[in-house]
Amino acid sequence: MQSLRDIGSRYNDLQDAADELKAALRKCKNKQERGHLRQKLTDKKQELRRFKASLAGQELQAYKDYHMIRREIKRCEMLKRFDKTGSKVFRVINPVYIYMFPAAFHSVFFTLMPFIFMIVGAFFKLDLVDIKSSKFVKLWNFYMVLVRDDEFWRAFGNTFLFAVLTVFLLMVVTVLMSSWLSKNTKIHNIAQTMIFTPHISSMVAVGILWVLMLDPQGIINQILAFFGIKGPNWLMDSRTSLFSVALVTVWKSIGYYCLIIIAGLQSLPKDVYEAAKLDKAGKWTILRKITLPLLTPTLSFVFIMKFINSFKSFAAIDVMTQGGPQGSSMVLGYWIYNAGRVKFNYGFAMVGSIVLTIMVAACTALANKGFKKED
Amino acid sequence: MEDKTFTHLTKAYSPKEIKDKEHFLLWVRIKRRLLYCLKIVNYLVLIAVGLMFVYPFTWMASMSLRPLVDALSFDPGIWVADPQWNNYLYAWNQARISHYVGNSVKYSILVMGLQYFTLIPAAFGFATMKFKGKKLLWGSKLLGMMLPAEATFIPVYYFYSKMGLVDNWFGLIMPSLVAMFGIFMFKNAFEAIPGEVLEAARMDKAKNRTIMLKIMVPMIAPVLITHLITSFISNWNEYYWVLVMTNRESLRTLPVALRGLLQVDEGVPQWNVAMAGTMIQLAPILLMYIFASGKIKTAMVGDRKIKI
Amino acid sequence: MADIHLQNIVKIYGISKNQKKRRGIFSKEKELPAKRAVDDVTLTIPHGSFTVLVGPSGCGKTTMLRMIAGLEEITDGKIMMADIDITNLDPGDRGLAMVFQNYALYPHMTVRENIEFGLVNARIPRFEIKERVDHALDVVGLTEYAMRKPAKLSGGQRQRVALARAIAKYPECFLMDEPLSNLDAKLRSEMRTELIQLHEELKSTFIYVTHDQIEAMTMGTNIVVMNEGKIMQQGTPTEIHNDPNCVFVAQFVGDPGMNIVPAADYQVGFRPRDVEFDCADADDDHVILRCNVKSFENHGSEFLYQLDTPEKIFVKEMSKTQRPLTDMLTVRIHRKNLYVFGRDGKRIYVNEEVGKAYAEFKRHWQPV
Repeated sequence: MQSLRDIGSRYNDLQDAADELKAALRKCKNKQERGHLRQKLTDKKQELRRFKASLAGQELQAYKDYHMIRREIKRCEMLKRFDKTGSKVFRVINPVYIYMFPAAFHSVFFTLMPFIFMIVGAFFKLDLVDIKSSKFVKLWNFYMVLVRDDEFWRAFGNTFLFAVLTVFLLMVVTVLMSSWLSKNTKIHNIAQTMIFTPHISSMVAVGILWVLMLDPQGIINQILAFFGIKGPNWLMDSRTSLFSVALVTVWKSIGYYCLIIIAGLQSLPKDVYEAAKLDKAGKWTILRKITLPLLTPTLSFVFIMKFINSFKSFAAIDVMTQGGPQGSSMVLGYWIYNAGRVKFNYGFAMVGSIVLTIMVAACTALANKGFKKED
Repeated sequence: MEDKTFTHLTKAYSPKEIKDKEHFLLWVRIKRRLLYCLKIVNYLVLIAVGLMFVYPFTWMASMSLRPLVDALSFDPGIWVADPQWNNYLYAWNQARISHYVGNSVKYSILVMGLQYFTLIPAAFGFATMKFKGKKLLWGSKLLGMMLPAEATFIPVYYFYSKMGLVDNWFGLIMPSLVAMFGIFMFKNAFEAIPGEVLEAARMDKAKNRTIMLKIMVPMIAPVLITHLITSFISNWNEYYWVLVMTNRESLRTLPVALRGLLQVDEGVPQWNVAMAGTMIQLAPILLMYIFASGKIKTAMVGDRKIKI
Repeated sequence: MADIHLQNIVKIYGISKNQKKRRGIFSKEKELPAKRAVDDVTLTIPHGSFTVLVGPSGCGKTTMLRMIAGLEEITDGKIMMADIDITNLDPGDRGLAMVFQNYALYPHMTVRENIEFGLVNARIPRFEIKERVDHALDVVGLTEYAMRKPAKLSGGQRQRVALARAIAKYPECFLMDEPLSNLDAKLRSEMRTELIQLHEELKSTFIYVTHDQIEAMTMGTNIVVMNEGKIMQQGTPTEIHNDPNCVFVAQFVGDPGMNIVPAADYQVGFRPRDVEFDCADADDDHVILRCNVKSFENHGSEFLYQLDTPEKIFVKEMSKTQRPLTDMLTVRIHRKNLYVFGRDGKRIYVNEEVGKAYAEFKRHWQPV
């Protein structure tokens, strides 16, 4: 009966010898010597195996434990070596550039390069199939679009009109509705949930749905007829088409903006209201002097963002009117799509893109300036 | 003085006074009833307004089950006596909705699965690390958020066509993989983690990737879930990019295909079939919404409040 | 042994170039001057000592600790550990462990995982990790809480987990950044004694940052008093208390600090405790003060009186009864209890000058 410690030292000795032999074998180049070493190694391994076979019970367990410990230490040493090389590499290359690569690539490929291409391309009669045959035409594109193209200016005006209409309607409706809906009962909650439904549905689905509802014989006109009003042709009429699309977008996003305002209302500090009540302020005064001033930053930010985003509404127009009867619902985004993807006038589309970008940038800059002043 | 205080309790009321009092109590009772009625009316109006937003979807469901003749009458009723499940079959097979559903699923899963490999490292870098050109990169990311896709699609289309990425899955999902919205969200979440914890991790010999994967990502798990929900909804509904960047039918997703159902050369479109297709497009999201409306509401609204 | 040497450490919090650029010409804000948080500090922290860095808030003590830990870049200077330069080593490679003010536990890991994390990163074999974690948990007495998450522990227990996390690393040196400031008073005093015991048990260096001079005096074996980025005095608690080398240290240490009274070209100080009450017999070795009392504080077993003088002077009496406020107070101070400082606040040891200051003080304050 050997003591367990002896087993350990015996095992370690054998294993050490084996490892040494292995290392020597790795270094050795001489063929004859290699064979010799290999022979020795197999001998050692056999000895180990015999040693293991001679053990039983508790001793075998000890042998296994020592084996595990040895393997674990080896694993850790390997990892340490791995770490060392890693830290050497990362001392030369800042790892953040690896993290940032996709984002940077995206920036260059989808933002900077298109941006430059857009500005340069506006001065060319572009041929995308064979880019070398594009001709430099100076300001001809600008002239054709900004001076000669009435439809462009109509689209430009429509874009603004659409944004103003949407945001105005949305603002009035949501502010009124959210002050009515802002309560924490079950029914209020259900109503909020119902109102939010259109926001998560796709614009295409909502658009198709409303094409049906706004059909001359559709539900809306049936309801109007019930009250004895002859409803207009909504989407087919050049007077109402843009308004109808705006109405649908508003319908879709009421829930979202209502919930934002309600969240804002419910996160207002309670103690301010308690203080106001102690000061004997009436309901109207509280709304005018406390709620609105506290909410204004949130509200203005939300609605200015909505205003800017309205410049980019494409899906709604595309599904419902395709620019509408006689260009009555043509917006800039759709005009660009039309010019570029349908009529293949890439130069014109570039000019339109520049105008759209300037519009968005100007509004963003104005909004930012306004917010900075408030701070 | 004590007497005076208690007289009004102890004195006997005269008959007239009692009558007055009864009148008063009656009035109070009536007022209470009225208020109660008003409350109920308020609730009814609330539900009615809510229905304004849900009814169209229900009506759509009923339309999708009608025969074409009934569908063209635009009857506002919801009940369908003889549901035509064939409409769905027709949409699924003849209108090839099955194919587009497959594409949509593929698109969403690809984007949702791959985006975190790019979003989280980028947000981590922006939130915690210093490097040359950080401001420049951040600025260009902001510019990218401002630049409308309507303005840049032609150049990108040109680059794509030169690189053979048009009508290619990789090209299709590439822009969504590094969406600014996600970087913004994760950056905010990462920045909210107390610096002490990260310092403790650095004292614990953690490497950057260990800090990111083992400390920070588990700590922002709720934000991750929120982002998963929002990104699923927005990717499932993605329309513009797919429309612009695909020429062949084989890669188009469901929203783009639905738009095609409306365009018929002559006569009226088959509304019932179109509605069936639209229902199929809406179904996953609406189902999700029915079962987890609270979660989705807070995910869509709550996180945007951080930005404000 | 592994003493820690700080050599001419400087830390300047400046405005980086980028920030300067962003402040345009429209901005009315003035540029902040670069602040020297730590100003040319040279210090040796002996191995096995319980070193306490103490000073008012904003004196650079935390910055210095963080520089030793490697969490803060060093503007200039060198940090040596024994004879190894660790100035540019990563925080994890320095063989230090830190206990943070707000514990800084990883909230999504259990207590065991929290402690294991550093060991796994250091590539320590698993069987040893288990042993070390068990030992650390045993030392802080949290063995049965091993599988809990930090959110389910009390403040004191979290503090212990943070300690265990440090202990398990078997570090050369423990760094502690005001670890007790988030605990309530009773728990704090308990933890204080435990830390002292821990120090005796582990026999490794402790560097402890605090703004609380009582904590410093009770725990430290080596106290470093800092002010405005500079070391004012370093020494054992007794040295610091009984032999302050400047006005700042004299006033900072003690509760309340030393009374400092101007006397001609000097400043003379004495401890509130070092006075005798009701002794009016004047002689050469004593100074007598007679004053009205402005206010008093009852500390239970002792009373603290503020005298009605232009300078703030406190005297402390070990007594359970309060003196009537209407009476004049007569106190006597022995010459050996007086400390003399120069105009610049430095302690004066030269006998002649001390004598001069004493005479001045006596002439000015002792009633005729």
